[in-house]
Amino acid sequence: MKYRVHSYTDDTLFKLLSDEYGSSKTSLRQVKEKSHAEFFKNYFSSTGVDAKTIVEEKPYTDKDYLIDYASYYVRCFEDYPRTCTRLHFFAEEVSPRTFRNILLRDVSKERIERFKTSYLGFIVVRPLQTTIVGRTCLVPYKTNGTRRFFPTSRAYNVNLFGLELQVRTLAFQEQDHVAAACATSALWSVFQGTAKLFQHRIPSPAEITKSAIDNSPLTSRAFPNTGLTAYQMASAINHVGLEPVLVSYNAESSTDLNADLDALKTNIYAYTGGHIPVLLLVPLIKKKSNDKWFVFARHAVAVTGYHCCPRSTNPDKGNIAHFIDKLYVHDDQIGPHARMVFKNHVDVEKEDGKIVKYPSMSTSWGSANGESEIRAIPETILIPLYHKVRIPCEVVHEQVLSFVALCDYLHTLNVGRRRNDRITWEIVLTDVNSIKSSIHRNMCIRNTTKSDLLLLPLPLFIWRVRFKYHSLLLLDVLFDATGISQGNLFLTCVEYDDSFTGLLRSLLAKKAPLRSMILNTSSRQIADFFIQ
Amino acid sequence: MGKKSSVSDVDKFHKLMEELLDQIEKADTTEFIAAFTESLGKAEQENQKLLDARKVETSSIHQAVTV
Repeated sequence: MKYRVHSYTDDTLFKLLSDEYGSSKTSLRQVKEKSHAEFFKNYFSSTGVDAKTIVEEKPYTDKDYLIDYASYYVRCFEDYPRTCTRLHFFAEEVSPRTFRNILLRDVSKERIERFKTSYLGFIVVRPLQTTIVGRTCLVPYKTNGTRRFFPTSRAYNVNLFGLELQVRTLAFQEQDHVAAACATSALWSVFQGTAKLFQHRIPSPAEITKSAIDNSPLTSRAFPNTGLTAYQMASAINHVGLEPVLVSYNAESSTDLNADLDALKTNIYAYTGGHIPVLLLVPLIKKKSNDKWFVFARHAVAVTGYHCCPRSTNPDKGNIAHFIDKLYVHDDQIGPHARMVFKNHVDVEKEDGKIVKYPSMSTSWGSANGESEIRAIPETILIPLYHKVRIPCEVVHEQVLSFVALCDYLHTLNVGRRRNDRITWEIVLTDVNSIKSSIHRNMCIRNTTKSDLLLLPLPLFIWRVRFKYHSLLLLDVLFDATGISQGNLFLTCVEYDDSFTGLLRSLLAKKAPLRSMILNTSSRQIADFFIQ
Repeated sequence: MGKKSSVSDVDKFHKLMEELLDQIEKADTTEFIAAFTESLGKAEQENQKLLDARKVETSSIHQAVTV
Protein backbone atom coordinates (compact mmCIF):
# COMPACT_ATOMS: atom_id res chain seq x y z
CA MET A 1 0.00 0.00 0.00
CA LYS A 2 1.39 3.43 -0.84
CA TYR A 3 0.39 7.05 -0.98
CA ARG A 4 1.37 10.20 -2.85
CA VAL A 5 0.59 13.79 -1.91
CA HIS A 6 -0.20 16.24 -4.73
CA SER A 7 -0.98 19.96 -4.77
CA TYR A 8 -4.45 20.33 -6.25
CA THR A 9 -4.68 21.44 -9.86
CA ASP A 10 -7.31 20.40 -12.38
CA ASP A 11 -4.61 18.78 -14.52
CA THR A 12 -3.28 16.72 -11.62
CA LEU A 13 -6.80 15.53 -10.82
CA PHE A 14 -7.46 14.54 -14.44
CA LYS A 15 -4.13 12.68 -14.61
CA LEU A 16 -4.97 10.88 -11.37
CA LEU A 17 -8.28 9.79 -12.86
CA SER A 18 -6.62 8.56 -16.06
CA ASP A 19 -4.14 5.87 -17.12
CA GLU A 20 -1.25 8.36 -16.70
CA TYR A 21 -0.99 7.43 -13.01
CA GLY A 22 -2.26 3.92 -13.60
CA SER A 23 -5.58 4.49 -11.81
CA SER A 24 -7.81 3.49 -14.72
CA LYS A 25 -7.81 2.32 -18.32
CA THR A 26 -9.01 5.73 -19.50
CA SER A 27 -6.77 8.13 -21.44
CA LEU A 28 -6.25 11.71 -20.25
CA ARG A 29 -8.11 12.98 -23.33
CA GLN A 30 -11.12 10.78 -22.52
CA VAL A 31 -11.11 11.96 -18.89
CA LYS A 32 -11.08 15.60 -20.00
CA GLU A 33 -14.01 14.95 -22.35
CA LYS A 34 -16.19 13.55 -19.58
CA SER A 35 -18.87 15.85 -18.18
CA HIS A 36 -17.62 14.85 -14.71
CA ALA A 37 -14.30 16.57 -15.48
CA GLU A 38 -16.08 19.88 -16.09
CA PHE A 39 -18.13 19.35 -12.93
CA PHE A 40 -15.08 18.57 -10.74
CA LYS A 41 -13.23 21.57 -12.19
CA ASN A 42 -15.99 23.89 -10.95
CA TYR A 43 -16.62 21.98 -7.74
CA PHE A 44 -12.98 21.97 -6.53
CA SER A 45 -12.32 25.59 -7.65
CA SER A 46 -12.09 28.58 -5.30
CA THR A 47 -15.76 29.38 -5.98
CA GLY A 48 -16.63 25.80 -5.02
CA VAL A 49 -15.07 23.92 -2.10
CA ASP A 50 -11.54 25.26 -2.81
CA ALA A 51 -9.42 22.09 -2.73
CA LYS A 52 -5.68 22.51 -2.11
CA THR A 53 -4.30 18.99 -1.63
CA ILE A 54 -4.96 15.52 -3.04
CA VAL A 55 -3.73 12.39 -1.26
CA GLU A 56 -3.64 9.34 -3.50
CA GLU A 57 -4.23 5.99 -1.71
CA LYS A 58 -3.40 2.88 -3.72
CA PRO A 59 -4.43 0.09 -3.93
CA TYR A 60 -7.85 0.53 -2.32
CA THR A 61 -10.37 -2.30 -2.00
CA ASP A 62 -13.87 -0.94 -2.55
CA LYS A 63 -16.72 -3.24 -1.50
CA ASP A 64 -19.19 -2.05 -4.14
CA TYR A 65 -16.69 -2.36 -6.98
CA LEU A 66 -15.59 -5.74 -5.67
CA ILE A 67 -19.18 -7.11 -5.83
CA ASP A 68 -19.63 -5.68 -9.33
CA TYR A 69 -16.23 -7.15 -10.24
CA ALA A 70 -17.32 -10.58 -9.00
CA SER A 71 -20.67 -10.26 -10.82
CA TYR A 72 -19.25 -9.27 -14.19
CA TYR A 73 -15.68 -8.07 -14.71
CA VAL A 74 -13.89 -11.15 -13.39
CA ARG A 75 -15.37 -13.26 -16.18
CA CYS A 76 -14.41 -10.85 -18.96
CA PHE A 77 -11.65 -11.88 -21.36
CA GLU A 78 -9.79 -8.65 -20.72
CA ASP A 79 -7.91 -8.47 -17.46
CA TYR A 80 -9.49 -5.96 -15.05
CA PRO A 81 -7.81 -5.27 -11.69
CA ARG A 82 -9.84 -6.04 -8.58
CA THR A 83 -8.64 -3.01 -6.61
CA CYS A 84 -9.13 0.71 -7.08
CA THR A 85 -7.39 4.00 -6.26
CA ARG A 86 -8.86 6.38 -3.69
CA LEU A 87 -8.26 10.12 -3.95
CA HIS A 88 -8.69 12.20 -0.78
CA PHE A 89 -9.21 15.96 -0.97
CA PHE A 90 -8.28 18.60 1.60
CA ALA A 91 -8.93 22.34 1.69
CA GLU A 92 -5.52 22.87 3.29
CA GLU A 93 -2.18 23.01 1.48
CA VAL A 94 0.03 20.22 2.84
CA SER A 95 3.47 19.12 1.66
CA PRO A 96 4.39 15.40 1.45
CA ARG A 97 6.72 15.90 4.41
CA THR A 98 4.04 17.55 6.59
CA PHE A 99 1.56 14.81 5.66
CA ARG A 100 4.07 12.18 6.77
CA ASN A 101 4.57 14.05 10.04
CA ILE A 102 0.80 14.22 10.55
CA LEU A 103 0.56 10.44 10.04
CA LEU A 104 3.38 9.86 12.52
CA ARG A 105 1.88 12.41 14.98
CA ASP A 106 5.13 14.33 14.72
CA VAL A 107 3.27 17.67 14.74
CA SER A 108 1.04 19.38 17.31
CA LYS A 109 -2.46 18.09 18.10
CA GLU A 110 -3.90 21.35 16.77
CA ARG A 111 -2.10 20.91 13.46
CA ILE A 112 -3.58 17.41 13.08
CA GLU A 113 -7.07 18.67 13.96
CA ARG A 114 -6.79 21.56 11.49
CA PHE A 115 -5.83 19.13 8.76
CA LYS A 116 -8.67 16.76 9.65
CA THR A 117 -11.29 19.52 9.61
CA SER A 118 -10.12 20.58 6.15
CA TYR A 119 -11.17 17.17 4.75
CA LEU A 120 -13.45 17.49 1.71
CA GLY A 121 -14.03 13.79 1.03
CA PHE A 122 -12.86 11.21 -1.48
CA ILE A 123 -13.33 9.71 -4.95
CA VAL A 124 -12.77 6.00 -5.60
CA VAL A 125 -11.32 5.63 -9.11
CA ARG A 126 -12.40 2.35 -10.76
CA PRO A 127 -9.76 0.64 -12.96
CA LEU A 128 -12.11 0.66 -15.97
CA GLN A 129 -12.50 2.23 -19.37
CA THR A 130 -14.38 5.56 -19.26
CA THR A 131 -16.77 4.83 -16.36
CA ILE A 132 -14.16 5.52 -13.69
CA VAL A 133 -15.99 7.48 -10.96
CA GLY A 134 -16.71 4.90 -8.27
CA ARG A 135 -17.97 5.48 -4.72
CA THR A 136 -17.57 9.21 -4.13
CA CYS A 137 -18.19 11.04 -0.86
CA LEU A 138 -17.64 14.78 -1.29
CA VAL A 139 -18.94 17.53 0.97
CA PRO A 140 -21.90 19.51 -0.39
CA TYR A 141 -21.46 23.19 -1.25
CA LYS A 142 -21.27 25.58 1.72
CA THR A 143 -24.63 26.15 3.43
CA ASN A 144 -23.74 28.81 6.02
CA GLY A 145 -25.34 32.13 5.18
CA THR A 146 -27.00 30.65 2.10
CA ARG A 147 -30.42 29.27 1.30
CA ARG A 148 -28.98 25.86 0.35
CA PHE A 149 -30.11 22.83 2.32
CA PHE A 150 -28.71 19.29 2.19
CA PRO A 151 -30.89 17.47 4.72
CA THR A 152 -30.13 14.01 3.29
CA SER A 153 -26.40 14.14 4.21
CA ARG A 154 -25.13 11.60 6.71
CA ALA A 155 -21.74 10.97 8.32
CA TYR A 156 -19.18 8.74 6.58
CA ASN A 157 -16.15 7.72 8.64
CA VAL A 158 -12.95 7.40 6.67
CA ASN A 159 -9.70 5.88 7.89
CA LEU A 160 -6.64 7.08 5.99
CA PHE A 161 -3.61 5.14 7.26
CA GLY A 162 -4.89 5.47 10.82
CA LEU A 163 -6.02 9.08 10.48
CA GLU A 164 -9.71 9.19 11.45
CA LEU A 165 -11.60 11.50 9.11
CA GLN A 166 -15.27 12.23 8.62
CA VAL A 167 -17.33 13.65 5.79
CA ARG A 168 -21.04 14.54 5.89
CA THR A 169 -22.63 13.86 2.51
CA LEU A 170 -24.48 11.20 0.54
CA ALA A 171 -22.36 8.77 -1.47
CA PHE A 172 -22.40 9.02 -5.25
CA GLN A 173 -21.16 6.88 -8.12
CA GLU A 174 -21.25 6.93 -11.88
CA GLN A 175 -23.05 4.14 -13.74
CA ASP A 176 -20.70 1.66 -15.39
CA HIS A 177 -23.20 0.78 -18.17
CA VAL A 178 -22.69 -2.89 -17.24
CA ALA A 179 -23.79 -3.64 -13.69
CA ALA A 180 -25.65 -0.35 -13.45
CA ALA A 181 -27.48 2.19 -15.57
CA CYS A 182 -28.48 5.65 -14.29
CA ALA A 183 -31.52 4.30 -12.44
CA THR A 184 -29.34 1.85 -10.51
CA SER A 185 -26.82 4.54 -9.58
CA ALA A 186 -29.62 6.84 -8.38
CA LEU A 187 -31.16 3.98 -6.34
CA TRP A 188 -27.76 3.15 -4.84
CA SER A 189 -27.34 6.77 -3.67
CA VAL A 190 -30.87 6.84 -2.24
CA PHE A 191 -30.24 3.58 -0.33
CA GLN A 192 -27.15 5.18 1.24
CA GLY A 193 -29.55 7.53 3.07
CA THR A 194 -32.43 5.15 3.77
CA ALA A 195 -30.10 2.38 5.07
CA LYS A 196 -28.98 4.67 7.87
CA LEU A 197 -32.51 5.87 8.64
CA PHE A 198 -34.42 2.61 8.34
CA GLN A 199 -31.67 0.09 9.13
CA HIS A 200 -31.38 -1.95 5.96
CA ARG A 201 -28.38 -3.38 4.12
CA ILE A 202 -26.99 -1.34 1.19
CA PRO A 203 -26.91 -3.55 -1.90
CA SER A 204 -24.18 -3.04 -4.50
CA PRO A 205 -25.17 -1.67 -7.95
CA ALA A 206 -25.09 -5.20 -9.42
CA GLU A 207 -27.38 -6.48 -6.64
CA ILE A 208 -29.80 -3.56 -7.17
CA THR A 209 -30.00 -4.27 -10.90
CA LYS A 210 -30.62 -7.99 -10.29
CA SER A 211 -33.37 -7.30 -7.74
CA ALA A 212 -35.01 -4.73 -10.02
CA ILE A 213 -35.45 -7.08 -12.94
CA ASP A 214 -36.26 -10.18 -10.87
CA ASN A 215 -39.96 -9.97 -11.72
CA SER A 216 -39.67 -8.74 -15.30
CA PRO A 217 -36.86 -10.72 -16.97
CA LEU A 218 -38.26 -10.12 -20.46
CA THR A 219 -38.19 -6.33 -20.25
CA SER A 220 -34.43 -6.02 -20.03
CA ARG A 221 -31.46 -8.22 -19.26
CA ALA A 222 -29.57 -7.84 -16.02
CA PHE A 223 -26.03 -7.50 -17.36
CA PRO A 224 -25.11 -5.49 -19.29
CA ASN A 225 -27.99 -3.35 -18.09
CA THR A 226 -29.41 -0.59 -20.27
CA GLY A 227 -31.97 0.90 -17.91
CA LEU A 228 -34.90 0.34 -15.57
CA THR A 229 -38.55 1.38 -15.61
CA ALA A 230 -40.22 3.03 -12.61
CA TYR A 231 -41.84 -0.34 -11.85
CA GLN A 232 -38.46 -2.07 -11.79
CA MET A 233 -37.06 0.68 -9.57
CA ALA A 234 -40.03 0.17 -7.24
CA SER A 235 -39.23 -3.54 -7.20
CA ALA A 236 -35.63 -2.79 -6.12
CA ILE A 237 -37.01 -0.60 -3.32
CA ASN A 238 -39.23 -3.51 -2.18
CA HIS A 239 -36.20 -5.80 -2.13
CA VAL A 240 -34.52 -3.75 0.62
CA GLY A 241 -37.75 -3.92 2.65
CA LEU A 242 -39.06 -0.44 1.90
CA GLU A 243 -42.32 0.76 0.35
CA PRO A 244 -42.10 2.79 -2.88
CA VAL A 245 -44.40 5.84 -3.05
CA LEU A 246 -44.99 7.40 -6.46
CA VAL A 247 -45.88 11.08 -6.94
CA SER A 248 -46.50 12.49 -10.42
CA TYR A 249 -48.88 14.56 -12.55
CA ASN A 250 -50.25 14.39 -16.04
CA ALA A 251 -49.23 17.49 -17.99
CA GLU A 252 -51.50 16.60 -20.93
CA SER A 253 -54.65 16.87 -18.84
CA SER A 254 -53.40 19.49 -16.39
CA THR A 255 -55.35 22.71 -15.92
CA ASP A 256 -52.71 24.33 -13.72
CA LEU A 257 -49.12 23.24 -14.27
CA ASN A 258 -47.77 25.59 -11.57
CA ALA A 259 -50.00 23.94 -8.98
CA ASP A 260 -48.88 20.48 -10.17
CA LEU A 261 -45.27 21.51 -9.81
CA ASP A 262 -45.97 22.95 -6.34
CA ALA A 263 -47.47 19.61 -5.29
CA LEU A 264 -44.27 17.87 -6.45
CA LYS A 265 -42.16 20.41 -4.52
CA THR A 266 -44.29 19.92 -1.38
CA ASN A 267 -43.58 16.18 -1.50
CA ILE A 268 -39.85 16.69 -2.18
CA TYR A 269 -39.61 19.11 0.75
CA ALA A 270 -41.64 16.89 3.09
CA TYR A 271 -39.51 13.76 2.57
CA THR A 272 -36.01 15.16 1.93
CA GLY A 273 -36.63 17.45 4.92
CA GLY A 274 -37.04 14.20 6.86
CA HIS A 275 -33.54 13.14 5.60
CA ILE A 276 -35.01 10.72 3.01
CA PRO A 277 -33.40 11.12 -0.43
CA VAL A 278 -36.00 10.80 -3.21
CA LEU A 279 -35.65 9.64 -6.81
CA LEU A 280 -36.52 12.15 -9.50
CA LEU A 281 -37.44 10.64 -12.88
CA VAL A 282 -37.05 13.12 -15.73
CA PRO A 283 -37.53 13.00 -19.47
CA LEU A 284 -34.60 14.91 -21.05
CA ILE A 285 -35.49 17.40 -23.78
CA LYS A 286 -33.64 19.19 -26.58
CA LYS A 287 -34.77 21.98 -28.90
CA LYS A 288 -35.76 21.22 -32.48
CA SER A 289 -35.18 23.61 -35.36
CA ASN A 290 -38.84 24.73 -35.10
CA ASP A 291 -38.18 25.99 -31.53
CA LYS A 292 -40.23 23.17 -30.06
CA TRP A 293 -38.63 20.74 -27.61
CA PHE A 294 -38.64 16.95 -27.90
CA VAL A 295 -37.91 14.11 -25.48
CA PHE A 296 -34.72 12.29 -26.51
CA ALA A 297 -34.04 10.20 -23.38
CA ARG A 298 -35.21 9.41 -19.87
CA HIS A 299 -33.07 9.80 -16.80
CA ALA A 300 -33.14 9.24 -13.04
CA VAL A 301 -31.32 11.22 -10.35
CA ALA A 302 -31.27 11.21 -6.54
CA VAL A 303 -32.40 14.46 -4.89
CA THR A 304 -29.99 15.35 -2.07
CA GLY A 305 -30.98 18.95 -1.30
CA TYR A 306 -32.64 22.12 -2.45
CA HIS A 307 -32.26 25.89 -2.59
CA CYS A 308 -35.05 28.21 -1.48
CA CYS A 309 -35.45 31.62 -3.07
CA PRO A 310 -36.49 34.52 -0.79
CA ARG A 311 -39.90 34.72 -2.46
CA SER A 312 -42.53 32.11 -3.15
CA THR A 313 -43.56 31.41 -6.74
CA ASN A 314 -47.09 31.81 -5.42
CA PRO A 315 -47.37 34.99 -3.32
CA ASP A 316 -50.82 33.95 -2.02
CA LYS A 317 -49.46 30.96 -0.16
CA GLY A 318 -46.95 30.55 2.64
CA ASN A 319 -45.88 26.96 1.93
CA ILE A 320 -42.05 27.07 2.15
CA ALA A 321 -41.80 24.16 -0.32
CA HIS A 322 -43.06 26.53 -3.02
CA PHE A 323 -39.94 28.67 -2.40
CA ILE A 324 -37.71 25.93 -3.86
CA ASP A 325 -36.07 27.24 -7.01
CA LYS A 326 -33.19 24.72 -7.39
CA LEU A 327 -32.65 21.08 -6.60
CA TYR A 328 -29.29 19.49 -5.83
CA VAL A 329 -29.09 16.00 -7.26
CA HIS A 330 -26.68 13.12 -7.59
CA ASP A 331 -26.70 12.93 -11.38
CA ASP A 332 -24.45 10.01 -12.28
CA GLN A 333 -23.67 11.60 -15.66
CA ILE A 334 -22.62 14.94 -14.14
CA GLY A 335 -21.49 14.61 -10.52
CA PRO A 336 -22.58 14.77 -6.87
CA HIS A 337 -24.89 17.59 -5.71
CA ALA A 338 -25.31 18.83 -9.30
CA ARG A 339 -27.60 21.81 -9.66
CA MET A 340 -30.95 21.73 -11.49
CA VAL A 341 -32.79 25.05 -11.67
CA PHE A 342 -36.55 25.37 -12.23
CA LYS A 343 -37.11 27.22 -15.51
CA ASN A 344 -40.08 28.39 -17.56
CA HIS A 345 -42.69 26.02 -19.02
CA VAL A 346 -41.85 24.80 -22.52
CA ASP A 347 -43.77 23.38 -25.49
CA VAL A 348 -42.82 19.75 -26.06
CA GLU A 349 -43.67 18.05 -29.35
CA LYS A 350 -44.76 14.47 -28.69
CA GLU A 351 -44.13 11.56 -31.05
CA ASP A 352 -47.66 11.90 -32.46
CA GLY A 353 -47.05 15.59 -33.26
CA LYS A 354 -49.15 16.85 -30.33
CA ILE A 355 -47.76 19.89 -28.49
CA VAL A 356 -47.91 19.70 -24.69
CA LYS A 357 -46.70 22.30 -22.19
CA TYR A 358 -44.35 21.03 -19.46
CA PRO A 359 -42.41 22.65 -16.63
CA SER A 360 -38.67 22.45 -17.22
CA MET A 361 -35.38 22.48 -15.31
CA SER A 362 -31.87 23.34 -16.44
CA THR A 363 -29.21 20.61 -16.40
CA SER A 364 -25.43 20.51 -16.90
CA TRP A 365 -25.88 17.97 -19.68
CA GLY A 366 -23.99 18.79 -22.86
CA SER A 367 -22.17 21.75 -21.30
CA ALA A 368 -18.76 20.02 -21.40
CA ASN A 369 -18.76 19.40 -25.13
CA GLY A 370 -20.66 22.52 -26.19
CA GLU A 371 -23.86 20.69 -27.19
CA SER A 372 -27.12 22.63 -27.42
CA GLU A 373 -29.09 23.20 -24.21
CA ILE A 374 -30.55 20.10 -22.60
CA ARG A 375 -33.34 20.47 -20.07
CA ALA A 376 -35.22 18.04 -17.84
CA ILE A 377 -38.94 17.77 -17.16
CA PRO A 378 -39.58 17.31 -13.42
CA GLU A 379 -42.33 14.74 -13.81
CA THR A 380 -42.23 11.92 -11.29
CA ILE A 381 -40.71 11.26 -7.89
CA LEU A 382 -40.31 7.90 -6.22
CA ILE A 383 -39.94 7.88 -2.42
CA PRO A 384 -38.59 4.84 -0.55
CA LEU A 385 -40.35 4.67 2.82
CA TYR A 386 -40.20 2.48 5.89
CA HIS A 387 -43.39 0.38 6.05
CA LYS A 388 -44.51 2.03 9.29
CA VAL A 389 -44.77 5.44 7.59
CA ARG A 390 -48.37 4.90 6.50
CA ILE A 391 -49.79 8.41 6.34
CA PRO A 392 -48.90 10.41 3.23
CA CYS A 393 -48.25 14.17 3.39
CA GLU A 394 -51.53 15.13 1.63
CA VAL A 395 -53.55 13.68 4.55
CA VAL A 396 -51.62 15.88 6.98
CA HIS A 397 -52.03 18.87 4.69
CA GLU A 398 -55.80 18.29 4.76
CA GLN A 399 -55.78 18.28 8.57
CA VAL A 400 -54.13 21.71 8.81
CA LEU A 401 -56.08 23.32 5.94
CA SER A 402 -58.01 25.78 8.13
CA PHE A 403 -54.90 26.99 9.93
CA VAL A 404 -52.98 27.31 6.69
CA ALA A 405 -55.91 29.28 5.27
CA LEU A 406 -55.96 31.46 8.36
CA CYS A 407 -52.25 32.31 7.93
CA ASP A 408 -52.84 33.06 4.25
CA TYR A 409 -55.75 35.28 5.25
CA LEU A 410 -53.57 37.12 7.80
CA HIS A 411 -51.11 37.72 5.00
CA THR A 412 -53.78 39.32 2.83
CA LEU A 413 -54.48 41.80 5.67
CA ASN A 414 -50.80 42.67 5.82
CA VAL A 415 -49.98 42.40 2.13
CA GLY A 416 -50.45 46.06 1.22
CA ARG A 417 -47.62 47.10 3.47
CA ARG A 418 -45.20 44.20 3.57
CA ARG A 419 -45.47 41.74 0.74
CA ASN A 420 -42.80 39.24 1.88
CA ASP A 421 -43.42 39.77 5.57
CA ARG A 422 -45.51 36.74 6.27
CA ILE A 423 -46.08 33.61 8.31
CA THR A 424 -44.76 30.59 6.42
CA TRP A 425 -45.34 26.90 7.05
CA GLU A 426 -43.86 23.57 6.07
CA ILE A 427 -44.72 19.88 6.29
CA VAL A 428 -41.82 17.55 7.14
CA LEU A 429 -41.65 13.89 8.08
CA THR A 430 -39.62 13.41 11.23
CA ASP A 431 -39.29 11.02 14.16
CA VAL A 432 -39.87 11.00 17.89
CA ASN A 433 -36.18 11.38 18.81
CA SER A 434 -35.66 14.43 16.60
CA ILE A 435 -38.84 16.03 17.96
CA LYS A 436 -37.89 15.43 21.60
CA SER A 437 -34.30 16.62 21.05
CA SER A 438 -35.51 19.82 19.42
CA ILE A 439 -37.98 20.44 22.30
CA HIS A 440 -35.18 19.75 24.80
CA ARG A 441 -32.89 22.28 23.07
CA ASN A 442 -35.51 25.00 22.63
CA MET A 443 -35.45 27.78 25.22
CA CYS A 444 -38.73 29.45 24.15
CA ILE A 445 -41.01 26.74 25.55
CA ARG A 446 -42.21 27.26 29.12
CA ASN A 447 -40.71 24.73 31.55
CA THR A 448 -44.02 23.15 32.64
CA THR A 449 -45.09 22.66 29.01
CA LYS A 450 -41.60 21.45 28.07
CA SER A 451 -41.67 18.81 30.77
CA ASP A 452 -45.13 17.59 29.62
CA LEU A 453 -43.95 17.44 26.00
CA LEU A 454 -40.75 15.58 26.82
CA LEU A 455 -42.65 12.96 28.81
CA LEU A 456 -45.48 12.61 26.26
CA PRO A 457 -45.51 9.15 24.60
CA LEU A 458 -45.22 9.65 20.83
CA PRO A 459 -45.10 7.29 17.82
CA LEU A 460 -41.83 6.53 16.02
CA PHE A 461 -42.61 8.56 12.87
CA ILE A 462 -44.27 11.95 13.09
CA TRP A 463 -45.46 14.53 10.58
CA ARG A 464 -44.51 17.99 11.76
CA VAL A 465 -46.31 21.06 10.40
CA ARG A 466 -44.21 24.05 11.42
CA PHE A 467 -45.38 27.66 11.30
CA LYS A 468 -42.63 30.30 11.19
CA TYR A 469 -42.11 34.02 10.77
CA HIS A 470 -38.79 34.36 8.92
CA SER A 471 -36.51 32.33 11.25
CA LEU A 472 -38.74 32.73 14.32
CA LEU A 473 -40.46 29.49 15.34
CA LEU A 474 -44.15 29.98 16.11
CA LEU A 475 -45.90 26.64 16.33
CA ASP A 476 -45.40 22.93 15.55
CA VAL A 477 -48.46 20.78 14.97
CA LEU A 478 -47.62 17.08 15.29
CA PHE A 479 -49.40 14.17 13.63
CA ASP A 480 -48.97 10.41 13.89
CA ALA A 481 -47.38 9.21 10.62
CA THR A 482 -47.93 5.56 11.55
CA GLY A 483 -51.71 5.64 12.15
CA ILE A 484 -54.64 5.21 9.78
CA SER A 485 -56.11 8.06 7.70
CA GLN A 486 -59.60 7.69 9.16
CA GLY A 487 -58.29 7.63 12.73
CA ASN A 488 -57.15 10.33 15.09
CA LEU A 489 -53.77 11.50 13.77
CA PHE A 490 -53.40 14.75 15.71
CA LEU A 491 -50.93 14.36 18.57
CA THR A 492 -50.25 17.76 20.07
CA CYS A 493 -49.03 21.30 19.40
CA VAL A 494 -45.68 22.74 20.46
CA GLU A 495 -46.14 26.44 21.13
CA TYR A 496 -43.04 28.59 20.69
CA ASP A 497 -44.55 32.07 20.50
CA ASP A 498 -47.39 33.24 22.75
CA SER A 499 -48.40 36.17 20.54
CA PHE A 500 -49.17 33.83 17.61
CA THR A 501 -51.01 31.18 19.59
CA GLY A 502 -52.68 34.02 21.54
CA LEU A 503 -54.01 35.40 18.26
CA LEU A 504 -55.32 31.96 17.27
CA ARG A 505 -57.01 31.50 20.66
CA SER A 506 -58.47 34.99 20.53
CA LEU A 507 -59.85 34.43 17.01
CA LEU A 508 -61.44 31.12 17.98
CA ALA A 509 -62.91 32.62 21.15
CA LYS A 510 -64.24 35.87 19.72
CA LYS A 511 -65.26 34.94 16.19
CA ALA A 512 -68.00 32.37 16.72
CA PRO A 513 -68.74 31.85 12.97
CA LEU A 514 -65.03 31.17 12.34
CA ARG A 515 -64.93 28.73 15.24
CA SER A 516 -67.93 26.78 13.99
CA MET A 517 -66.51 26.77 10.44
CA ILE A 518 -63.15 25.34 11.58
CA LEU A 519 -64.82 22.84 13.91
CA ASN A 520 -66.62 21.47 10.84
CA THR A 521 -63.38 20.86 8.94
CA SER A 522 -60.67 18.23 9.30
CA SER A 523 -58.73 20.78 11.41
CA ARG A 524 -61.27 20.30 14.24
CA GLN A 525 -58.82 18.60 16.60
CA ILE A 526 -56.27 21.41 16.34
CA ALA A 527 -59.05 23.96 16.97
CA ASP A 528 -60.13 21.93 20.02
CA PHE A 529 -56.56 22.11 21.33
CA PHE A 530 -56.65 25.91 21.27
CA ILE A 531 -60.24 26.24 22.50
CA GLN A 532 -59.49 24.09 25.56
CA MET B 1 -35.07 29.19 7.26
CA GLY B 2 -31.95 27.88 8.91
CA LYS B 3 -30.92 31.20 10.52
CA LYS B 4 -31.28 32.11 14.19
CA SER B 5 -34.17 34.48 14.88
CA SER B 6 -33.03 38.00 15.68
CA VAL B 7 -34.51 40.21 18.39
CA SER B 8 -35.86 42.52 15.71
CA ASP B 9 -37.71 39.54 14.14
CA VAL B 10 -39.38 38.85 17.48
CA ASP B 11 -40.31 42.48 18.09
CA LYS B 12 -41.47 42.94 14.52
CA PHE B 13 -43.62 39.85 14.73
CA HIS B 14 -45.23 40.76 18.04
CA LYS B 15 -46.08 44.21 16.66
CA LEU B 16 -47.53 42.58 13.56
CA MET B 17 -49.67 40.24 15.67
CA GLU B 18 -51.02 43.17 17.70
CA GLU B 19 -51.88 45.08 14.54
CA LEU B 20 -53.55 42.07 12.94
CA LEU B 21 -55.55 41.26 16.05
CA ASP B 22 -56.74 44.83 16.20
CA GLN B 23 -57.61 44.78 12.49
CA ILE B 24 -59.54 41.50 12.80
CA GLU B 25 -61.46 42.68 15.86
CA LYS B 26 -62.59 45.77 14.01
CA ALA B 27 -63.39 43.86 10.81
CA ASP B 28 -66.96 43.13 9.84
CA THR B 29 -67.65 39.45 10.63
CA THR B 30 -69.36 38.74 7.31
CA GLU B 31 -66.44 40.21 5.38
CA PHE B 32 -64.00 38.36 7.61
CA ILE B 33 -65.73 35.03 7.00
CA ALA B 34 -65.93 35.69 3.24
CA ALA B 35 -62.18 36.40 3.08
CA PHE B 36 -61.37 33.36 5.22
CA THR B 37 -63.59 31.16 3.05
CA GLU B 38 -61.70 32.36 -0.02
CA SER B 39 -58.35 31.46 1.58
CA LEU B 40 -59.77 28.10 2.63
CA GLY B 41 -60.89 27.45 -0.95
CA LYS B 42 -57.36 28.07 -2.23
CA ALA B 43 -55.89 25.76 0.42
CA GLU B 44 -58.40 23.08 -0.58
CA GLN B 45 -57.33 23.39 -4.22
CA GLU B 46 -53.72 22.92 -3.16
CA ASN B 47 -54.74 19.83 -1.20
CA GLN B 48 -56.64 18.47 -4.21
CA LYS B 49 -53.45 18.74 -6.29
CA LEU B 50 -51.56 16.77 -3.64
CA LEU B 51 -54.26 14.10 -3.71
CA ASP B 52 -54.22 14.00 -7.54
CA ALA B 53 -50.43 13.63 -7.57
CA ARG B 54 -50.78 10.24 -5.89
CA LYS B 55 -53.29 8.88 -8.39
CA VAL B 56 -51.57 9.74 -11.66
CA GLU B 57 -50.15 7.06 -13.90
CA THR B 58 -48.40 8.64 -16.86
CA SER B 59 -47.23 6.48 -19.72
CA SER B 60 -43.62 7.44 -18.95
CA ILE B 61 -43.68 5.25 -15.83
CA HIS B 62 -43.57 2.22 -18.10
CA GLN B 63 -40.60 3.53 -20.09
CA ALA B 64 -37.08 2.70 -19.03
CA VAL B 65 -34.71 5.39 -17.85
CA THR B 66 -31.66 4.66 -19.89
CA VAL B 67 -29.08 7.43 -19.83
